[in-house]
Amino acid sequence: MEKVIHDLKTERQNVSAGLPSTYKLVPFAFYLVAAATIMLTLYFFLSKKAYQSSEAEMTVRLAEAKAEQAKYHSSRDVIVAESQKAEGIARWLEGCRPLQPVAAAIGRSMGKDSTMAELSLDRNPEIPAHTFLQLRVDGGGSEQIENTLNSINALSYQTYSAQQVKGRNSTDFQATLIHSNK
Amino acid sequence: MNDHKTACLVLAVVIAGMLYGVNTLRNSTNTARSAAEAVRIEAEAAEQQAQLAQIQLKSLDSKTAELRAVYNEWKPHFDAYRSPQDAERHIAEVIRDGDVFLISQKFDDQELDRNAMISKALVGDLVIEDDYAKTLNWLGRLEEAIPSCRITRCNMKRGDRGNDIHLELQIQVPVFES
Repeated sequence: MEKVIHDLKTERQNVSAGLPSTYKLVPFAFYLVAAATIMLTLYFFLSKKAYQSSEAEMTVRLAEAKAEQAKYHSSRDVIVAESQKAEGIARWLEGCRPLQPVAAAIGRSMGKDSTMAELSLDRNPEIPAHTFLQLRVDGGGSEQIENTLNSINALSYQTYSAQQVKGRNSTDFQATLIHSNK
Repeated sequence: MNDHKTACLVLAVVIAGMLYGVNTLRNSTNTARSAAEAVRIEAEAAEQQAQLAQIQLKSLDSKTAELRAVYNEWKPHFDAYRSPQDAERHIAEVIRDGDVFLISQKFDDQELDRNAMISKALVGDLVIEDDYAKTLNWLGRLEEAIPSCRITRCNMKRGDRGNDIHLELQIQVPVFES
């Protein structure tokens, strides 16, 4: 009766065996990864926001630059169009220098003994700035033609391909007149 | 599998999930960085092109300034004749104002160059016989009244009477059709 039963339980295996030592690193890794995740998430999130903001800013700059470029191109097109018109007008104007001063100068250059029998001023159809002059002077001869040429030169015209034919009482003169802008 | 192992497995899965999430976010950030960089390069290139366009515009502007000034000065004279009838009417006015004796007149439209700036002109053939000084003065007034006109032929010879001259004139007046 006095026998004490110290332990009724029989020896049993543990229900859950202890973790292998490598498994013990898992919780440590969890904490480490959790902390790193928080930091990296914050870093990447802020970076992403910054890049998105930068992209938006650059998109605005791009749009502004393209608008500016388009504005300059449109202004350039206007200038080019106007310049082309101006060139057309300038080409026309080169060939419409007044002829009355030439005719008047030739008339005034006639001396006492000579008269202008016939004067013809024809523009070259291909190069209207070139004017073909044909003049018949009665009396005066070469000296008169010289005076007439001086009068024409005084109007800044140069004579090219000049020809002079003397008749009995008249002199025929022909030349091409080109105005020089000097 | 005991509870400890299950817990470890769960933690491992959570760790993998966190790593996956961070990696996804990293990739997304890299994509955003690449996009921002691409737009920055494009924007800088566009700005450089805009600057270049501005320089070219200034250069073109200064190069053509004189020519365009001449154009703007002359434009009203050319714009004055929108039809051959306008030009004909003006020539008739100048003849009437000059009070010169007109023997004959003939007007015709002429196609100059379809692609050119001045593609059409009125061509007038006038024959006048009057006093020498009066006729010459009238010719000067005609060229002054229609500065854009081009006298393509001017023949003068003695007239039938004392101081008269016989003037045969061919005049072209450019027409800017609207």
